[in-house]
Amino acid sequence: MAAKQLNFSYNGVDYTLEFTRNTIKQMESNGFIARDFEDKPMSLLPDLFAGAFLKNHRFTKRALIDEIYGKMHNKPALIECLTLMYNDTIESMLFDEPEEGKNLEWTPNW
Amino acid sequence: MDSELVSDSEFYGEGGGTPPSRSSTYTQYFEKLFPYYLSLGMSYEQYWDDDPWLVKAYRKAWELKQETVNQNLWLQGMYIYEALCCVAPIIRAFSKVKKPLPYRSEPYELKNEVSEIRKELRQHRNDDMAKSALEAFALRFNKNFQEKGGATNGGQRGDTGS
Repeated sequence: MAAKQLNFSYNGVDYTLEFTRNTIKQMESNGFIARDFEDKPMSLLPDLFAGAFLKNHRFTKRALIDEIYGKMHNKPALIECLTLMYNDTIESMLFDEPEEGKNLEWTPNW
Repeated sequence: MDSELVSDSEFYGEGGGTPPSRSSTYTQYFEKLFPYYLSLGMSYEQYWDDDPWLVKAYRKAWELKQETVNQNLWLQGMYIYEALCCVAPIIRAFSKVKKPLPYRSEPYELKNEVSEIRKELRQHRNDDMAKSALEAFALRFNKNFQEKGGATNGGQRGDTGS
């Protein structure tokens, strides 16, 4: 399974957003708590979004990141993507292949 | 007015705050598990900066290595056991046997999953080559048949008279 990345272009510049353990460590040392994200996701989404720049675009100014964030479409889907990317750094250390016959399959009706 | 760099920005939330305690961060777990993954052969950069899912591949690789080591040790035991069985007749007390049994002249033929896959691939390629050869033969045969006045695919033969 490859690392999850989020790609887009803004003002002629290509951006690749992703998380690594090092960038999460940096975010946490700056005060970001993943647990708080469950209670107030929309408040912390800008910080999570900014944290995704640390790996490949660490010298990008916060003002520019906030500007990009403001123009991002479909923020609920963006939350989902960013949390999946964030969780990968933790889940990769916890979970191996699921055991056969122990997981229920489910499908939404929308 | 001041544009902060991402790396210098503060994530303390509304109205500022204190850094999170060690117990609420994932960093402490990353740091605790770091020596383990170093022992598996990961480098610092791979663990901290590379694809997060690389750790899973290293865990699987470690399991495979352990299986190989276990297999080798078992195999060594088999060879030792066989060697002892070969010399057992002459080391018994009052044995009339003067010569030991001959030790095996070749090692055990070992098969593993990779060699099985390669064998299947070889078979598949041979089947494809045989199929291509047969198709080429059929094409040549049909061409020769046509040149001699015949027809292909159940068609009528060329009109040669009555």
